[in-house]
Amino acid sequence: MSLALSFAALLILCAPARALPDTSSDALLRDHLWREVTSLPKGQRPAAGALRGLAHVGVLQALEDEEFPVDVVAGTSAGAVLGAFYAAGVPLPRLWGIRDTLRLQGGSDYSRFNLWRLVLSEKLMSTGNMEALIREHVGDTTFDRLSKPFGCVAMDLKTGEKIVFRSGPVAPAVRASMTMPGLFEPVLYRHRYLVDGGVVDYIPVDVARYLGADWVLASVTEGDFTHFAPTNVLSTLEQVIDIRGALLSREQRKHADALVEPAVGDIQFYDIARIGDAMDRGLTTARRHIHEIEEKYILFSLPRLKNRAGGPGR
Amino acid sequence: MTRLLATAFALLVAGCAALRTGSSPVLGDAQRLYAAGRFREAAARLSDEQLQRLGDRDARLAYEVLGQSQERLGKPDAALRTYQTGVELFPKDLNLLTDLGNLLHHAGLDDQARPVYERILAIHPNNAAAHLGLAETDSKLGFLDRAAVHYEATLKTLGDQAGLWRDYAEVLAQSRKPDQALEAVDRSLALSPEPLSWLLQARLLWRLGRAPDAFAALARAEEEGGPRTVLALQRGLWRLESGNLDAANGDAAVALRLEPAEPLAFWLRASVALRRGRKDAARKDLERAARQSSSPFVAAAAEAMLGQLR
Repeated sequence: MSLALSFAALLILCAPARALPDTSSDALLRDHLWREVTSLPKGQRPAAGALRGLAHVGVLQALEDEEFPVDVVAGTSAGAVLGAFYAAGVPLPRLWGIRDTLRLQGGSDYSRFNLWRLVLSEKLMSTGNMEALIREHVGDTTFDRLSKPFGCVAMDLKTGEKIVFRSGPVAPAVRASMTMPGLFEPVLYRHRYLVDGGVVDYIPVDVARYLGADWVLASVTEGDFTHFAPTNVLSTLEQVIDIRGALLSREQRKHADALVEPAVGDIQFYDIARIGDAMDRGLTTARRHIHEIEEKYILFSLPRLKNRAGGPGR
Repeated sequence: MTRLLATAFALLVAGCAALRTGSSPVLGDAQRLYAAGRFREAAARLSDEQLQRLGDRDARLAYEVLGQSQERLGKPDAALRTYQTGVELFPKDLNLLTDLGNLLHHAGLDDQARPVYERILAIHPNNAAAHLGLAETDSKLGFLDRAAVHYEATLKTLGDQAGLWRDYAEVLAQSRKPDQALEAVDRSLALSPEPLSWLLQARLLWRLGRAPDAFAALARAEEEGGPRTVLALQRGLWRLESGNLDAANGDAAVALRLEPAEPLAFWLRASVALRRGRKDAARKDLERAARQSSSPFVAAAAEAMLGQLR
């Protein structure tokens, strides 16, 4: 027994040093004001609400862990899928499970057979599987029945217009929002040929504001087009969309109040096997910046505390 | 008995290299020098040439002694290369893997430390050092559920460590499980009444709406020698929150007596003054708080409130 105890001492000596709780003045005040701000009634608190890519599951997790009030959600592309699930109240553990679902279901869409068919017969692939997946999680629900206001963006391939969906059935709208042009068949919906909204609105900050957000946290996952030398149809298309998206996002990110940018640029969107990695990176990035984000939200909310009984500044 | 043996093994493999003796005189020398705190000389004894001459068992120890000496000399890059070479040569050596994982973890490279700790667990599933490393990296990276599971595994072996119970409680608190967190912090306090554990207990109680108990826990933290300024400020903020302005002002005064330039104490006093309609007094204190670069967020909040007053 004494042998075991003496080695226990050694282990502690060799084990990593534990971080002490943050008792800095900044942390004390942040904690205090965070409670004040988040306990404001919904109408008085600034509505916070924008998304693109699967890394957002991790970002949403970090926000939930901090009890961050997400009031409205807007998304494009894969961000529309996750945004819809989140706005429908699908619990985060189920969203984390998507990594497995997509591994199983995605295989049929991106299989070698389908890619060869695409090249040889010029027949575009279908996003029908994705719509089925969306329905599996949200059913036949409509926008107005979601638990949080939600909007998603698609582009009309005939006119180049940006189409913002915020009414009607959720599943076809979200499907249209993530239909990559050139690879998947445009979605014929409401007499329009619709494709991925990322082509015209990479970070839908304006949609979030339109839905009522006073303060917008943009979760941005840009592909790093310098990382890859495209060698096939798929990677060339993705490269073009990423370049276009990067140009759009350069301007759009200026309009967000805070940004989270998970470093997932080296993961290509069809790289199903690395979905889990992308989600993890979303969480670690958001976690790293969560206090910074909270502080921005608190500073934005301070004027609202002025009118609150018992709040600072009264 | 099986559990005791497993525990002893887990602890044994995490023991320091300097305390396990090798058969080679060169290694023996290096170990003695390391134990005497002469790290430069210990590292110099273990040149590449000497390392190549050692048999497997001694070479494993030698890489550990060399890496640990380099760490103590403040050369983490050299230590990293040493551990990486050691792990390449002896991929199942738990000590070298633990050293490598811990070095990466301490350097903030938690995403690289994780797979190393996972390799250790693949070899030895009950390894407490690896579970602890994963608990800490997962907690830092934001994987709170996984962190909790690894803390639980670590505590099966090291359940007598008060600090570990507190860290576990912190993870549970962040996971919004305040009742479970409270139980864990109680375990920590039963083992050692450390002020930071009392402070954590106080915060959890406050979050659960048990204000009198929270204030009592803060008082215990102070009795145990906790940081008085921090405790006064925490108490003051809670009193401000509950509208007890005189007492909050008193706490700000206590903090300012202890640290006359404490920005949060100025902010606290200003908030009390504002609620009493004394804008001039508040403005002066907010200006003082906004000037302090030591606490950028306090300064920014003070600046924002000044903006509202203008």
